[in-house]
Amino acid sequence: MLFKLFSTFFYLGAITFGGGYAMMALLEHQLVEKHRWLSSEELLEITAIAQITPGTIAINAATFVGRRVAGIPGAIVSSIAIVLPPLLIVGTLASYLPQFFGQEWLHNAFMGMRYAVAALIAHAAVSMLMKGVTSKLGRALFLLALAILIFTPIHPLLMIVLGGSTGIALHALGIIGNKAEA
Amino acid sequence: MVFVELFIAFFRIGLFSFGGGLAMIPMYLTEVEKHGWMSQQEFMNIVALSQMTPGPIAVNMASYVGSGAAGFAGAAVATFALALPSVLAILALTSVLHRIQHNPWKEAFFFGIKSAAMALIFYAGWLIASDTLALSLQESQWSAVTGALMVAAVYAARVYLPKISPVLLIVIAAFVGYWVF
Repeated sequence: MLFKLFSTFFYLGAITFGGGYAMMALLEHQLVEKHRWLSSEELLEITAIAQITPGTIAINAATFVGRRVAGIPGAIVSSIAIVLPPLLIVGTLASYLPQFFGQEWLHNAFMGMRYAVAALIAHAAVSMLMKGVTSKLGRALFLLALAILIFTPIHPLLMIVLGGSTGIALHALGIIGNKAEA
Repeated sequence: MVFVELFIAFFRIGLFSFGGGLAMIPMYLTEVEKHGWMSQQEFMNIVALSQMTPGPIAVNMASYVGSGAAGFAGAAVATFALALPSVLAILALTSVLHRIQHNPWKEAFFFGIKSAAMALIFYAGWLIASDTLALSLQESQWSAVTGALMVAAVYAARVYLPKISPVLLIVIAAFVGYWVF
């Protein structure tokens, strides 16, 4: 199991470009669809937790998943595995990379990749929404949150705190019950 | 001692920054300038490079800065120090969450943050698409239209051909980008 965790997160570290959210699309495919280590709902919870805990989202997610699947050794193995590929690549090639990435053809290839990543995130997001947020109230909150993100310069961390406070307020008002109908 | 400085600086960045790599840029800049590891201009080049090199942006930035300051060992120290607060925070949090597993207040909190996280993921996809479209438009309308078509094609592939792995789709898109842009 530890080996499987290591190889999965090493692979994710080696093939993800961009930030933690770009990785979400691949996490959804690897962890939810392929290995079934998590449900869509749990992945969504991890995304939120990763946002409100110190540190980078990708490492937070790796630690969380590793801990869930194989305890503390799993958490350590996953976290090391995800930082290893970038460390090895950048640490050994740092002085050659600026020249390499200055080339026109590579710029164009990256443009293509960015379009693909945008589509992958959209697809993963829709599938997580369908499986992870099923109640009408939850979906209404989602639309409200999206509108706030688009029309105001709110910080992502504040968005998550706002979401959590809304959930707690709804519970205090008795609108959502003991078993929150996620 | 440069390794101790790197460790303290990156541990601090890991501890006090929340969210993705790009949100951390101001903190990086402060530390990098304070220690004189590189100029602001050099650092901005590294931000761009970090988005192209595989792996999380924050880890790449740490490896670049560490490597510039003290070679491979510097990169390793910076990366380790950056990751440490993340790992410790998550381990502490999961043990607390485990203890309050069926608390209704905790479930209400999660009910709220799931909707917010969902919105953040959609928004991230939108930001990448719109940024890239703006870049394409600077070149030509034709390349923006091609880009929009690529988004639609990759999305359709995920829906109708779910056996094709997302990574393969990214590789194909890189080749298509190389040929058409």
